[in-house]
This record gives sequence, C-alpha cells and structure tokens, in this order.
Amino acid sequence: MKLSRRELAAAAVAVVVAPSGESQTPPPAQDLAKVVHDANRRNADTLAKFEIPISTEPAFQFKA
Amino acid sequence: MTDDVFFASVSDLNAGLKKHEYSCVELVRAFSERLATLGPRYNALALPLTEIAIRRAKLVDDEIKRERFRGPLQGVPFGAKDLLAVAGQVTSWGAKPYAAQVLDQTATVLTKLDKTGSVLIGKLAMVELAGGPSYRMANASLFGPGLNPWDRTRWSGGSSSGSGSAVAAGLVPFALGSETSGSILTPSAFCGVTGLRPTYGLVSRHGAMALAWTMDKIGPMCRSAEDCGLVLQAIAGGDSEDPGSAGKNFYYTPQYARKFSDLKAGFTAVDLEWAEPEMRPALDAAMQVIRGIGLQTVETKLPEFPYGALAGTVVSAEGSSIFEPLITSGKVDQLADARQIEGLKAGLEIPAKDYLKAMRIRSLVKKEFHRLFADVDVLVAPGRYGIAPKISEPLDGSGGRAAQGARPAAPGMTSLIPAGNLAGLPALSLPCGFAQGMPVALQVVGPPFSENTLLAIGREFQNRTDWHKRRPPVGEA
Repeated sequence: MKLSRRELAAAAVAVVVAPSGESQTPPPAQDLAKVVHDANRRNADTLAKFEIPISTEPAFQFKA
Repeated sequence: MTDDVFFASVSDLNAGLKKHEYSCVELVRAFSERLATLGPRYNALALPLTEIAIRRAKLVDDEIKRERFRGPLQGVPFGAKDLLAVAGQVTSWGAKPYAAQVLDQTATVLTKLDKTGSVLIGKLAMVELAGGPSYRMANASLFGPGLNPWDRTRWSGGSSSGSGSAVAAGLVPFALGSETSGSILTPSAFCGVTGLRPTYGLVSRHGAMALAWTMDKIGPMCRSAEDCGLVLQAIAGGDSEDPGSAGKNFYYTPQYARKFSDLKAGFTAVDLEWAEPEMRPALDAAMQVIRGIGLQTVETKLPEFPYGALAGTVVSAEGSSIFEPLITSGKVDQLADARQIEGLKAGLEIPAKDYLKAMRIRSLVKKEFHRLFADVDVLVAPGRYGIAPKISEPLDGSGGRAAQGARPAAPGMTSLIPAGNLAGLPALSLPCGFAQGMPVALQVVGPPFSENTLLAIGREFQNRTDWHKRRPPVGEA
C-alpha cells in the first residue's frame, strides 16, 4: 500500500521538529516505555507498507 | 584583548598572530579564560584543557617566530564536542555513566587539527549520547540544558549544544560538532552560527563516539562559511581506521566555484507556511539574497519516502546495539532523560527485519536523490521551522506550525534533515535573520562531495549580509 503524502509529511515532521515527535503533553514516566514501543511499532508498520523491488539491497556492503 | 578578537574570523586571528599583534599563548589564555568564565553561563563547557593548550601554544609561538607557517588555522584556539576522544583526558559523551571515562586514543580529527597548529582549549558540552534514539527535554545532558546566548531561557539546540553556544558567544573561534540527524544544523540554526555537515565518510569518525555507524558525521561550526571551508580542509580525508571513510580529501577552493548563474536551487514555496509566522520575513529575504547571488530557484519536491520512520528505525537499532552493554548492565537508568532511557531499551527489541527494510529503502532514497540532483544543484530550505524553544518545554513543542496542529497540505522540505542524513548529503546552515530576537537560518544541501559549491554559495551570501557577524548579549543577565 502506498503511503499518502499527508502520511509521509506527518511522519517526517515528527522527526524534524523534535527528536521524540510526540504530543505536547508529557506522558507520565511509567507510560514512556509504552510511548517508545508504540513509536517503534508505528515506524515498523510504516516501513512494512512501503513497497520496494525485490532486488533492492541494503545500503551497506560487506567486502572480504 | 578587545571583544573584536573574540568574534574574529579564523583568517583574521591567524593574520594577527603573524603580525605579532598577540602571541598564541596570549590568544589561548584569553579564550581559555573566557570559556572558563562564560562557558558555565550556557552550560557549554565540558572540560577545560588550559594547561595542555598553553604548552601547545608555546610551541606554536616558537614556530611562528621561526616563520615555520603551517596554514590559516595555525595558532587559532578551538573547542571540540565531548564525544571526540583526547587520550588521557575525560571524554564523557555528555552522559552520567561515562562521566569519568578516560580513553587511550585521540580522535583523528583532533590529531589532524593539531598538525595544523590549531590549539584545542576545551571539550564542549553535548546532549547525552548525542541524543540517542530520542530525548524529550533540553536538560538531557550531564551538563544541564544547553542555554542559548541570545536568550538563556531558550535552548541552544542539540546535540552539539556546547559547540553552538560557545561559537555564538565568542568563547571559541570555531568548534567541532557532529550530526546523526540534525545535531550540527539545529544548534547552528538556533544559535546563529555557520555549521557544515559534511558528506558521510568525508571526515573520519575514528575516536568519536558512535551513535549510528551509517549516519554519524563530524563537522565544523564556525562564524562564517569561509571558516567552515578552512576547517573542513584540515579535518577531511581518508582514514583506514574508519570503516565508513570515503577515502577522499577536501581542498577548499572557492576560486574555482561554478558560476552562480549556472546553478539551480530547488526550494518549495510551502515551506514558508510550515515556518513560524515571525520567521517568514527573514526566510523570504534570504531567498531574495539567494536569487540576487544569481542562482535560479526552481520549485522542487523531495522524493517521497517515510523519512521519519526510516531515520527513527536506523538510529534506534544502531544506537541501541552500540550501547547494548550500557543497557543490559542497567547503567542506562543513570541517564538524565527518561525518554532516552526507554528509547535505548526499546531499540534492542527492533527486529532485524525492520532494520533491514529501513536500510533497503535507504538504497532507494540515495538513488532518488541522485536523480533529483540531476535537475537541481542544491536544495534550499529553512534550517529549522521554529525558533529555539524554551528550555522548560518538551522539545516536541517546538518546530513551527506543524507542532501547533496546523499542517499545510504539502510537506515541503520539512523532512530535509532526516532525508539528507539518510542519504549522506552535505548541508550548510547559514544565519539569515532574526525572529522574536532569536536567530533564523537557511540550510543549503547538495549532492555528495559538493561542499565547495555549498561553501561558495554561503560565502557569497555572507558577503551580502551580516547576520553571521551579529553578537549575542554575552555577559549580560
């Protein structure tokens, strides 16, 4: 599924404007673990939806 | 010494030394005293190195006396972000668990600067672990929040917080910072200094704390584009100790820059809608200067990728792997920022498939930027979309209208910082005005190894403006 431009913009701005990209109200300390796990999961879901050619290799190389 | 010395360019200081207006020892003593006295006002100083610096300065004076000239950096004091190791000295990485860490090597960039005769006078404060996967508050540092010399109730920016404020306040003529995703450009923009993020691999990372192996870059933060060029020439170059080294040198050659009228600068008009309203006059005026220089400006769009998710995944996975011993030992709980702590822990749980997917998409990012730069020579955008935030506010409250809930229809270049870092592109941050008394900056980004083009544009921009010469009210309440 291709991401809409709004979804891409929202995901990008969250990193650009602040390291955390979360809402302005600080969550309680005990919820921070959930906040970061949820953020990582959202990132994973976003990347999972992004289609790439099967031949695409990672942007690092091993050389013997 | 007058204040003019503290705000002088690298070239002017070097010329003053050669004309014997002052000695290197005098210069080093003066800057060291200023850094020691005023650095704590901005939480900028991590470690003074005065005694070592004076010993070095005496050797430099001897060389200058014998007319053994090494170049424009000879005798010029500087500061280095405290993620750069100096053998036998504390290198804290800005983090409590490493507050007493002493390493037995010196970073390649510092060895290179030493060979030019430049004198390291102190290590500068930083956000703990260069920001890690994420941090929420400005006080995420062993040294407290980086305070902005233009308004000490506001953040200096990070993670090269001390480097930004020290250069802005004239505590050092130039500094070294680092960037994984924004850590040179952000403090440069917020503090009104000129910062250069080099192409990935151009400057050796050996001896620098790693946050993300595939994204970390060391770069100069100075008072001008000219100074950035001189410093980059000194620190760039291949290094077999750095697996990511590009094996290329850099020679600062503004005299061979392409004609500005041959250059196309990509920009997006919607960026002005993303910026805080008070910033728009300065940004608009800056674009007029860019056009006045002769660059053709063309409306452009960035390739469409989920840059936030990509940068978040790569930095989190690599950073948590690097700091795995810190995390599994439990010492991660000593860090200052609660979100940083949880982010590092969570990063260890990122599955390989997610990291690999991010790195595969990253190959496409590089390819699409290569295509983009076939049509334009540089990209121009606001350095940041908001002014420096108050230190008491969570950092996700800063950054322009987006953080206030009003989102323009198109993304513009708002993701240029993560995008540029993911693609390994160089960027120059240029002070271009003020909003609410706080600095505003433009960023100019180019294809890999286009630093001479960026610096030529920056130099001409600074020939036509004087924003980079403005001085904050140092020493006032």
